[in-house]
Amino acid sequence: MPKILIVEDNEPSRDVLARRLERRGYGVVVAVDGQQAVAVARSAQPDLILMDLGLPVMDGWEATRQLKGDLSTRHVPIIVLSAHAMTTDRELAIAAGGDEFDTKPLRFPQLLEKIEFLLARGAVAK
Amino acid sequence: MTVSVDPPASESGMSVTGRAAQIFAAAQREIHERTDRLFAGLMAFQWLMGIIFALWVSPLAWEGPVSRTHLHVWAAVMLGGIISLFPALLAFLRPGQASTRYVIAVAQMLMGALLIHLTGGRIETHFHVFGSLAFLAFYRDFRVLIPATIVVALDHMLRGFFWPQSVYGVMVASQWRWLEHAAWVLFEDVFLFVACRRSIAEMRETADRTAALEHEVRTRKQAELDARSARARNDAVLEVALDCVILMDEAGRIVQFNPAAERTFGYSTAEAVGTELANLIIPARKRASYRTALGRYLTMGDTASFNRHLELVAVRRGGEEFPVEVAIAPISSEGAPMFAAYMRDITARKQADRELHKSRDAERQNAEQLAELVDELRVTQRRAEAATRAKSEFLASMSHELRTPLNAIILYSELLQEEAADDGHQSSIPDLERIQSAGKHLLDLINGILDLSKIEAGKMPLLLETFDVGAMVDELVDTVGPLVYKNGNTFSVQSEGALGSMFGDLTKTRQVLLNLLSNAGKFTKDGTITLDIRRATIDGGTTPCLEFAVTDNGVGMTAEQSRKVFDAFTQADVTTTRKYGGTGLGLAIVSRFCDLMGGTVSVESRPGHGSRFIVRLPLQVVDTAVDTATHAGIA
Repeated sequence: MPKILIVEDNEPSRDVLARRLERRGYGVVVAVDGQQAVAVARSAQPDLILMDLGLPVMDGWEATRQLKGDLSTRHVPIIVLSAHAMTTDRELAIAAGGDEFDTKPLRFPQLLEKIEFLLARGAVAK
Repeated sequence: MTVSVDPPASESGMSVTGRAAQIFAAAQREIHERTDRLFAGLMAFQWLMGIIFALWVSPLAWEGPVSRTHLHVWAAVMLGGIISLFPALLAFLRPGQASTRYVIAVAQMLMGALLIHLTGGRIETHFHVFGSLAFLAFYRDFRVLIPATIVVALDHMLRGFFWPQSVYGVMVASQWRWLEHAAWVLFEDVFLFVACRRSIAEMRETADRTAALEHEVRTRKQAELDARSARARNDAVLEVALDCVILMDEAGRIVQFNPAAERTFGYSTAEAVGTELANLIIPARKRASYRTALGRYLTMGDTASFNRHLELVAVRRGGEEFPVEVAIAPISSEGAPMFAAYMRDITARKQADRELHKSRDAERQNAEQLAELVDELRVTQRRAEAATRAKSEFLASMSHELRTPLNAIILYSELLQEEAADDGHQSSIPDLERIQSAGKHLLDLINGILDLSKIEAGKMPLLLETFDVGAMVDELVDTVGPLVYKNGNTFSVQSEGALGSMFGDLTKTRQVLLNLLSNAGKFTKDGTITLDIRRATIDGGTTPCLEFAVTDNGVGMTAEQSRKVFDAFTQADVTTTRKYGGTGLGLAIVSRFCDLMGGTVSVESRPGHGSRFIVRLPLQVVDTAVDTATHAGIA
């Protein structure tokens, strides 16, 4: 099954998202800050990353940029999640290298659609 | 000598010399004419005397016993007449002419010759010749002596040669006796010549003096006239002058006091003249300084106070003091120094000045107060803006902080519902649904607050794009369907003609219509809801727009409620939220979004009959508040 990296510093958010994705059959790895996210992505080689923006140590923007600048991780699709519903965040996220964008609170069915779409696209690319 | 002088032809146009020549000529002419007349009389007298003499000396000529009138009688009558008549006639017909004089001179000498002959050449009669020359000298023209002398010389020479008895009274006379006679005549001529010259010189002098005198008289008369008319003019000016004009002598005593001064100060001219100005119109306490100034001028020529406008205090008859504007000017005259004081009562002007100052002060005060108010307002406004900004930022960050736990709540409630369904714990599902529903309501509230605060902070950007209105409405109907149909309502969309496309913010336009339609669904039960769309104009018909009218026949609102319906957190009343649900922010957001897009929203409603919300949005929305720099930073 596809492996998804959840980057989220808020424990309940991380936990509930992980459990719901696992219920859908996805493999889940987690990271609690940007730096960790980059390390985990390199070691665990996830199929997709859910990246929160407001993170300690290294924020989501920077982590996204580093991941997209690294040959070993640049092919991994990233869905940027923001608690700010600003439309400009979407543009900034895309500009930083994110493949998709969603706002919190997450509408789970909608998020699933985006995940499935990106994974399907990745499978075709391979 | 009396000289009648003709009045000068042109008094001003002639020089003194010219006038003297004129006077001289007139005097000369007068002398000539008078002498002409004298000779005319003399001629007649001599003729008569000649006849008488002839009759007396030799009335009859005897040739034997026969006597007849002596030839001399006839000669006296005939020759005397011939000699006398012509010049006498000329004297009357052409008096004063030079020719008349010469004719008279010749005739007079011929008459002398006749008389000498008639008296038989008596040597005594020769005195007539000398007398005649003296008479001729009356002309004061030595030239008449020349023909006279020639006539005498010729007469003596010719008669002495041909008929000595006739001229010398002897039968034989020396050939050269005439020369002796002529020499005596010339001897007299010399005296007469000198006398004539002197006389003429005197006449000229007299004429010059007369002309000079006349000139003097005329000049004086003119000066007097000038002075009189100048005085008359001055008097007239002073008479009608609006200012007081007071003339003073060197002691400051009033010499002239015009009617304006009489009116202003209350004294008549008769009372004022002769009084010292200081005593009359200057308050007692000021007299000393006034006199000092006048004295300074008189002794040192200090004109500091003169020819300047001064404001002084004057006093009227009766003691009333009042402000005057004064100018004192020394009058240059050859006599003792004089002064003219011009005064004007400036009570009214002072009053006006004071009032003007007062009103200016008041104006200034008002302006200052206004400026203070404006400053206060600015400070208040800045504070209000700062407060709004702080509030908006607070709300933005708070909504962010709220979203994270809310995210967990909603996701967990959904997870629990899934797990409960899987595990067969059906009884807990409704409660979990309530948790989820409450979470979503809270999310709506947070989103609404966030939107409003962004609008208020000016950080709500417009995303302008061209979109198809029909497609937007179709999509809207799909979304809004469950909301409008839920209370047993019917819903229809009506549009007039082709809607075409619109350049605007698609998301916000959809949000506006969504809010209005969901409101209509919320407040209408078993009724009808319609969305009417047509093209119209706003801004007084200048801007083409699309009009969206959402009409329901639900509960409606009172006028009071209608007025407040677009304010945030004001549903029709506080119970509404409880009864109908909703955040109370929907219409506030509608109103703000319409404003942002340059459109309008209005409402018509009657309680129990339903409401109609009309939204007009420009076909071409213009972004008036582009603020990308700041909205980019709110993340």
